Amino acid sequence: MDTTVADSVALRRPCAVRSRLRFGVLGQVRYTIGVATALIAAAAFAATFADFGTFENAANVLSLFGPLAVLSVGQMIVVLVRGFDLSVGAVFALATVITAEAMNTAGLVGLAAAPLVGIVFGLLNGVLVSYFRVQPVIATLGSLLLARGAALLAAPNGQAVILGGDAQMVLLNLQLANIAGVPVTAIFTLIVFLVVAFVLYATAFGRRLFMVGGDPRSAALVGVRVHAVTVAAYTLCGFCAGLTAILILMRTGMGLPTEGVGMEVQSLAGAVIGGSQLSGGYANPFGVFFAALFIQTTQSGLNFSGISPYAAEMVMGCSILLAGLLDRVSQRIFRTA
Amino acid sequence: MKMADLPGSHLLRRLPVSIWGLVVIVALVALFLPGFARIGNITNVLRVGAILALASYGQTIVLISGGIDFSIGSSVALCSVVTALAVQQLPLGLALTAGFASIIGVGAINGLLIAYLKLSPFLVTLGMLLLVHGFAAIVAGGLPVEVPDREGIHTLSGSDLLGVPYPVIIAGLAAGALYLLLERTTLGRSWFLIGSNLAAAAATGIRLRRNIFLAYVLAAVFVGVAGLILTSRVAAGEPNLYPTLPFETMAACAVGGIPLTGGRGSALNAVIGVIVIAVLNNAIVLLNFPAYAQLSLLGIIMVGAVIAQGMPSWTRPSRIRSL
Amino acid sequence: MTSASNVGPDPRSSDAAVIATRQPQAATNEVLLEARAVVKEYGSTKALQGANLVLRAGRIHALMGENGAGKSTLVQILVGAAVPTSGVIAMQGRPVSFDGVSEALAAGVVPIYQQSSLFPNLTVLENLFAFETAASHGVAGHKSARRRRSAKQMLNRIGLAVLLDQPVASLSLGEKQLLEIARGLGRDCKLLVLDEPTAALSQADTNRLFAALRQLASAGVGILYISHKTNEIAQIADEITVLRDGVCVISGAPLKSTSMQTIVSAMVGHAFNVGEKNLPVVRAPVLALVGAALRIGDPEVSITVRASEILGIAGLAGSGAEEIGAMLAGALACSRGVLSVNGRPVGRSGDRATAVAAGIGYVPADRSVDGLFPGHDALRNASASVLDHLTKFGLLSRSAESIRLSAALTNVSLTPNQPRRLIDEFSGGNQQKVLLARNLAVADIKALVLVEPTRGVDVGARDIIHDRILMAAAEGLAVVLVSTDLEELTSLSHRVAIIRDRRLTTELPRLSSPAAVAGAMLGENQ
Repeated sequence: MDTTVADSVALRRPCAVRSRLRFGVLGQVRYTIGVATALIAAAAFAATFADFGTFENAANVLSLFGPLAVLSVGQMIVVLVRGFDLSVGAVFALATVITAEAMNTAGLVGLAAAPLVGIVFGLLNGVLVSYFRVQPVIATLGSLLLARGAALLAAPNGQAVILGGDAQMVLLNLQLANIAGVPVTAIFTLIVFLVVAFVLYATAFGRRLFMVGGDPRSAALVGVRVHAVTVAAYTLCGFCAGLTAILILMRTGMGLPTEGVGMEVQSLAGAVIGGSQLSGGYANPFGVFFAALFIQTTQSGLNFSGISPYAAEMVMGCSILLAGLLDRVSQRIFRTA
Repeated sequence: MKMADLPGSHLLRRLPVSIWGLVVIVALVALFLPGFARIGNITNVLRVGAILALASYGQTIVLISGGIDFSIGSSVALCSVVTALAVQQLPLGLALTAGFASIIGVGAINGLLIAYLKLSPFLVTLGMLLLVHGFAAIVAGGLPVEVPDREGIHTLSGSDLLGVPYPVIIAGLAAGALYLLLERTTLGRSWFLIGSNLAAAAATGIRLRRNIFLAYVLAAVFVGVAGLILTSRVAAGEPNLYPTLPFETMAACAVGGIPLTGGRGSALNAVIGVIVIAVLNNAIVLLNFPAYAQLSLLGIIMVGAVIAQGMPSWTRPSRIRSL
Repeated sequence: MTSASNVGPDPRSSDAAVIATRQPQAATNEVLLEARAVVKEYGSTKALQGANLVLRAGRIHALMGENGAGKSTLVQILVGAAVPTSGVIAMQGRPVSFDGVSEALAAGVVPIYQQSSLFPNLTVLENLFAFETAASHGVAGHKSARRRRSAKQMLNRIGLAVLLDQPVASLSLGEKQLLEIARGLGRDCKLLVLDEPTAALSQADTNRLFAALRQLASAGVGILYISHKTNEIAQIADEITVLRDGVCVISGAPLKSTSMQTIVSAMVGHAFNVGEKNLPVVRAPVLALVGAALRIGDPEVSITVRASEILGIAGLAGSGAEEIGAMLAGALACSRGVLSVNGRPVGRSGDRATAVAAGIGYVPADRSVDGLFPGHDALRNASASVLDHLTKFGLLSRSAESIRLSAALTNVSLTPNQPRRLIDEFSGGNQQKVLLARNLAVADIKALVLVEPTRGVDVGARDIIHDRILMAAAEGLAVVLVSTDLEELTSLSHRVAIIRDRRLTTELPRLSSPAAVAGAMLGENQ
């Protein structure tokens, strides 16, 4: 489904010049798009609007980009194994509702509900896609519907569940806290990314994710349990959705069953702008980190300047197209002498 | 005497597997839900389904050719916005034409980027989803643009011919047109080959770029008709007109038996899938299920249908291609 | 090949040092793996109906059979990728049941597949240790210096000159196959299973592989070698098993005392004659490629092919032979040069649509990647090039398609002759016939370019395809045959063009020996 015209009619020529530089550096080009766009956006806004380039604004951006970033890195893991997850928005909404109720009942311990909800849906998606061979679109669409339905069920009368009591104070303080000016939520996000990077690059499991994404048939032939790896990837994505729910709860203080609409598309945007290939096999968490920063900077900047918030959407749409174009271009440089 | 020897059995074998699911579901619903089998109810189901059907025809074309289209929801929204704005200056007919043209425009851009710039369809249509929606929202000024209740705006979606609503007639005719396009034109046949193996299609001399571009443009024609009917129904320019449309068309195509990987599909598959979903939606409403159950049940059934269709292939051995 | 007295490895070779640290070597001639009465059923299809195989240490055992005979199924069972329905697999006397490839690997059975099991998005180094990574539970030591040294050794042994950090996507087909082999050879193994390992290899690479295999055998490793290439089997194998219809018709016969005739007859099921072909008389020039170069800076190539002529093109992997074939077919855009048919230039370079209109047919190298449409029947696969000519009043006519293409498919002896059967269900040889039919169905076809037309095709179908090619030439087509199967090349071609470093270096006349062609490809003096 995701084949492109170029892949098939590409010239299959042996590489005449093989330099370590070429493969080392140029192979990473696609991941730098995220960094580049973040920097450009920040610079553009700072240059145009005098009050934008302040430390406060930077801290504000940092305090806001967490949810999208964490959601996007979860999406990145699934895209790595040739899939994608349309249910992330609905799942984290469900998680906020259930966690809010859990915390209202049991205090801070209830926070554990968020990642649990995410894991359950991640498992469901993974099993559907791998063992039942359902296309990711359909499988995750189905669980999206299931999660939305469950969220409406869990929330009394479909209304928001307001977080109360001590738990709420703790979260609020965390949301507002910062270490040396950097918001705690941003640090939390960074830690998540570091963990993901560790798993991807330093563990054999992470390598297996790349193998399954690169060529699932070959992976099976060399002994990788492809189904198990796929389920694990979707579960990790669900887990990230759960973490996102915690971040959102910190920010809004309530569990809203209708939250997160459109976030699945945004998280895909984050993954793609961050250099992931939808055909699988390529991923870099730091590309996604900066892509999320870029998206948030753009949204904040547009907010700040009073330009319609929908312009941010257009910018995101264009960025996705540009990311694809740049990737195509870098592939051509990469393959030919 | 075996099943295969019965007269007409070769025709039966050509029918998609999903039709049996449709028959079963409709039979069950008709039997157990007394409210279903009334003419008024069925007409309503078909009327609602007609729009999804037209959009699904477009998705069918794109899927067969090996692509996918996420931007359908945003383009119908754009159509409504453009029409609503244009109708303030132009007569209704021209305004609707402008709306239709905007959808064709989106399809053409998709086609250009995918066929000539060789970008991934997933990427392009996802990006266009955001771009077009943002554009429509900005142009509309953030709020729905009301179309004055001018005579004629509701004709397309509201009137009927001999008791059959116009949209249903249009969807029926369009199904026939889709069938002809897919089975009886070289362009349609080329989409099957392109979706099945792009490189092989190139080697046989099929004009890849032109035909892939046309896939998106012709798909946009079907989506355009859906957009016009929608616009006629709501009589407003609404940037958030039908954001879940692309996903619903994918669901309809999948339930109807069209593989999302491309290379296979038919008008009949699309029609079956749409009717199944429309009937199920209706059944859920008739059963008075609360909102949360509606969504959940739909999701479960959709996934269940796709799993059921995939089951026959589980027993086939996965062959390594060297044989 | 084997001397019972000397079981240990040669201490002088560095590879021996690696071997010495491995699993305890089996005594030569000891039975390593035995398959008894193995049956494998997929639903109602019986892929294997009682196959027997005895593999001994230090011996190279060939496995031959037509496609569909059950070779791949048997191999899958041996390497743990499939489970037999009934029958016994025993390793060194003890019955085993592998639950996956990893278990078979741990037991010392190492597979080298025909279809690449490499990962294009990972580096050469990572691919070399893919088996380890698949089974590992921990934090990876996959960039360690020890691994790099090991990897370099593996590459040197097979003579593969690529960088460890190079992504495999940038390797050529031949390099990928060598990498696959290097990975398999470098493992600790008792039994090495190779499935069509030389499909994409040059003669030089094949020789290197055989040298490495002989070395392994003398160190006590058992080798199962699956191939269609009878000449290679004669070179490398000690004993042979032939499968037909899921049963062993020849079981472990020593190659020295079995004639190739017997073997091929056993495979095909009837007496088989490998005879000399009669080539048609050559006529006027038809297809001409003048001053063509693929990229800027490449040397120019000019080739002219006459009607009824079969021009063979031979070259090592990476020499540019396949690319020249593709340029002749109009499938690759040249940076310079003109392609013309009967004097008229063919429109846009690299555009197959104009090439087809000009009458150039093309059977590309890798049928599953470039040629076939999975999920569609043979008829649709065959009609792809002539769709525009099957229309009535602008609409595609099913009956015209059926009449015309059924005839074309019958002409190439499609077996079974069911045009509406899914292409996926035909054997490789028959799939190749469909591709041939696709091109020959074009009414005004004037030239036909075939690249590796019988790669992965069994002997029976191979002969039919060769006959059809000859018939096409006799009917007046200009035929270009690009092949690494030197026997095929030399028996069918009027003349053989040798390509080295993208340059047409020399031309050999009719009935040159395969050895002469091989020498010319390497640049040796004849």
